Formats: sequence, C-alpha cells, structure tokens
Amino acid sequence: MFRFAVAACFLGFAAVAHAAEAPADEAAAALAQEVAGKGWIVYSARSDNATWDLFLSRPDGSSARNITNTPDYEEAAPRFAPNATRILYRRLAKGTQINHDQWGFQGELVISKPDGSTAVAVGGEGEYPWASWSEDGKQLVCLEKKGIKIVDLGTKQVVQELPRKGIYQQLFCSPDGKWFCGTGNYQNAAWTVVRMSREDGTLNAVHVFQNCTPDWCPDSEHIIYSSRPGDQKSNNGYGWTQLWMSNGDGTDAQLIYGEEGFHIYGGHLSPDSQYVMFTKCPDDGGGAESKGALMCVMRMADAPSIGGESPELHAKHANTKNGPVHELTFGWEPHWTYENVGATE
Amino acid sequence: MSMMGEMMEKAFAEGQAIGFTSPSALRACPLQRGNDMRTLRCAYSRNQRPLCHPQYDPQLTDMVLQNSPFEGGGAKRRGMFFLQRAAHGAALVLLLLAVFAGCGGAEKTDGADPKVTSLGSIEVTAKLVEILGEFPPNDLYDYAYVLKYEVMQTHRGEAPKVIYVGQYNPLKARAEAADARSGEIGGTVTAFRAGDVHRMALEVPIDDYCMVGIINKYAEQTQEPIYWAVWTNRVVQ
Repeated sequence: MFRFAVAACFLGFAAVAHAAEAPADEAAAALAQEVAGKGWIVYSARSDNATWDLFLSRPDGSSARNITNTPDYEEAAPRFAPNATRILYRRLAKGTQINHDQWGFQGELVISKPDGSTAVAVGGEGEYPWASWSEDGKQLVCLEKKGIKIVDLGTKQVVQELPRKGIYQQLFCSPDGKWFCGTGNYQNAAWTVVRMSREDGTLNAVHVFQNCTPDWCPDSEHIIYSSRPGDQKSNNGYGWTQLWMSNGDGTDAQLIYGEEGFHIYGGHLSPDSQYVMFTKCPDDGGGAESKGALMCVMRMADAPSIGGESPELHAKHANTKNGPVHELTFGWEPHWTYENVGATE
Repeated sequence: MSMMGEMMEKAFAEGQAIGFTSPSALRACPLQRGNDMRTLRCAYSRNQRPLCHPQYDPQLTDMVLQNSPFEGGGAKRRGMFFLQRAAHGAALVLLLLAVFAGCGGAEKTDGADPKVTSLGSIEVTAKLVEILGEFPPNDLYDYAYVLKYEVMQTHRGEAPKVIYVGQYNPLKARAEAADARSGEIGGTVTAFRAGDVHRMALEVPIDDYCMVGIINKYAEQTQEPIYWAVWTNRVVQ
C-alpha cells in the first residue's frame, strides 16, 4: 500500500511537472513555426570537418546547410549586405582560434554571394579591420587605429575618414547611413557602447560600463547590445551578461532578455523588428573560442523576458513578460534577412 | 653540514641565491621567470624577512621541495639547509643550479636592445612609481592599464618628468603580450612592480596606436596625454 502511494505521488508530481513544461514547449514550438518562413539567417558554426564554417538556415533552425564547407579555413562573423545580394565575413587560417573580441582584426575579409559561392578575398591578412556594410552595400566601413575609413567597394578607395574617438571594436553603420555604433572608451570609461554621427563625428554614450556587441535596430534609432551590470551578486559577483536596448542618444535603456547561468550575446533584430535573435552561453565571451553558443529567437513583444529561475534578475525586473524562447542550434553571430536567399536551385 | 648545505650557504653569502618568504612571494619573484624554478615551491623565513633579498638570511631555515621525495619529510629541520639522503643529491644539485641561474641573473643592464632603441618615436628610462588598483584578469578581455612613471632619462624624442603609460594586458610578460589587436609590442619585463625601472619605446597619444579598452585610474587627476608602451625592457642598476 505504501509503495502504491509513493508511486502515485511520483506519477502525480511527474504529471504536474509535465503540465508545467508543456505550455512553454508548445509556445516555443509555435514561435518556431511562426518564424520558420520569415527569411533566412546566416551564422558561423563548427561543422563536421571540425573547422568553423558558415551556415544558412531558416530562423527556426530548419533547412540548415553549410555554405562554405572549407576544411582548410575557419570562417566567422557573416553579415548580409542590406539588399542581401552578398555576405561579408572573416576567413582565418585553419586552426586559428576565433577571438570573440579580436575577430575584426583576424584573418582576411571575404565577400561572397549569400549562398557562399564566388567567395573573393578583399585584401590580405588583417586588412579592412572590422569591415561592415554601408547603408547601401556599396561601401565598407572599417575601423583602424588611425580612424574610421569608408572604402568604396568598387574602387577600393577611401572616400571618407573620421577620427574613431576611442571606438575600438564592433563598428556598424545604421541602416539609414547617418550613424555608427561601436564599443569604445568614452570619457575614460572603457567598454561603453557609443553612437557617432557620420556627418560630423559627434559622439555620445549609449550605455556605460561593461557593454559590447552593439547592433543597429532596423529603425536606425535604437541600438541593441550586451551588458553586464556591475551590481550583480550572482556568479560569484561576476554577474551574467544580458541583452539590452537603448535609444541612440542613450535614453530609455531597457532589458530585452537575461537568464542567470548564461551570458547573452549576438543580439540582432529581424528586419521588421518583430523578433530578436541572440546567443546564450554559460561561459562569458559568447563561445567563439569553443563551439559557439545556443542561438535563440524570441518575440520583441515579449521583451523584457527572463529565462530560467534567475532570482536576482526577477528581483530587479518585476514586470517581465517571460515569453517563449525558441532555441535553434549552436552558432555564433547570427544575422537575419527577409530576402529569399536560401532557395536552392 | 652536508656538502649541499655548504654550497647553499656559500651561494647565499655571495649573493647568488635569494630567499623567498612565501609561495606567493616566490611566484611574484621576477628572477624565477624564465628559469626552471618550478621544482622549488617555497622557502620560509622564520621572521618573514623581505620576500627577495640578495644576501644570505641566517633566519632562512626551511626548504620544501615540490614533487620531490623531500616534501613534507626530513627536509623540514631547523638550523640550516640539509640533505637527508645522498640518493637525492643529484636532484638537489639540479635545483641549486636552477636557483643560481635564476637568482644570480640580476646582472646590471641598461635595457638597451635593437627593439627598444628603434621602435616608437620616444625612448625613455623611467621608474614605475606605483600601480593604482589591481590588474583585472585578461584571460577573456584585453585592456591597456595606465601606469605612472618618473622619467629618469630621455634617450629619444621628448618626454616630461612624469608620464602616464598604457601597458597592454600587463599581467602577461611583455614577450608574450603581442596579438592581432596590439600590433608589435614586447620587451623583457615579465611582471610589473612599483619601483622597477624600465627602458621603454613609446608612442603618443595612445589612441593613435592602441585599439583596446583603456583603464586609467589617473583620469580624475590629470589630463596629460597617455603614452603607449611599444617595447618595455627591464633595467637593473
């Protein structure tokens, strides 16, 4: 009789646990189904040949295929051109460890079609550091020690130069071409996400202290970035990196997603700003030095959300929505387009 | 006293050997770097004398050998250095050679070499005045840490009496600090300690030569330009 009671209790607990999990799973599955037809993502990931390659997949992770498959190179950090007719990325010698903070200095810049074909190296090792697309895809925005250089892709001529004013990595041009965002030293505060006017070089802080990996939202007004607030007690006081978003002028900073036990990086919005993609990794740095991190997608309408139990985060952010998060696969620095670049012949 | 004991007595008396007061002091000792001192874990000074002293300390009484049959055994006898078993003599000889090589290497040098005398646009010999705060770990994030120096001699270019120098990832030995971000940097300095004298090839301002987060504890005190350390050699006077 006693055994029966114990078994009944166990089954009862199991049923309750399943009932509690099922809605979340179902909600995440619904989210996956919702985004599956919304364009394509490109990302870098470890492949079967043991090197980093580039992959194209649907935003739910389906239809993934290796578009470089180069056992002699490590490829990283792909980004679609604004019209998605090309991608650019860094190609490193086989065996080179991708450094999550130095990748823009590493390897050679390569431009190819979005399916990985017709890959052409633009410059040599270390040239065109931190290259990213201009708003029309006709120029490259590069971050060098001597300043920001805008290079015409057709002629390879520098068409504009600006002082970098302390920006030292992750420089990106806004979709409207009026601004840059980057990570830099600002008024003696390192690891500050900043915004710079392309017209006159005016700089303002977006978020100070322990921030990086900024990226523009499609509206050219908001910037999404990773931040590790310094007042955290968890993780032995080191804290966990969270995904945040601010206006370009630094106002209205708000949490987008956080989860104790994971560092959140690679924040990037879908072209219609309805969804956000990010990676979560138990190790700080985003996993570039190992196997990448778990790529995730959630609705921006569900922001701010907090994953897991995360008691400290919940205590600081009372009104979170905690919507579903769909987990894809391991990767690094995903980038999203709604162009139909993944259609096979 | 055994023959080994006599050798060590002589070495300390001649200033060729150095005593260390604690394991952390040993790890901090610059003279052990580059030499095979890993077998020597610590030597204790009864009265916690300075961690690194060039003369024999008669209070130095106990030596513990890591990974050796002596550890925790008969080697812990007070009075003087000793050898318990002749069969282990060879191992101790190797250890002594390492001690002599490591600690006897503090030969005078002005730090000049082809790199420090040619790189950068400024070359100085300067004393590291202080280190404000602690260097953060740089296993994950790179940074330049601003250090305050008093210039003792200017070899090339111009420099004021006091300069603020950004050292890239200062927890790393200069010879191992260069990477894709830093460009060419280097030198013979293996660790930074207040009071040390360095011969440095420099550039200024740091922003023109260094793309990294800069930790500047002097930001509130001075608006002087920050120099970028291209090459940093140790000077022994």
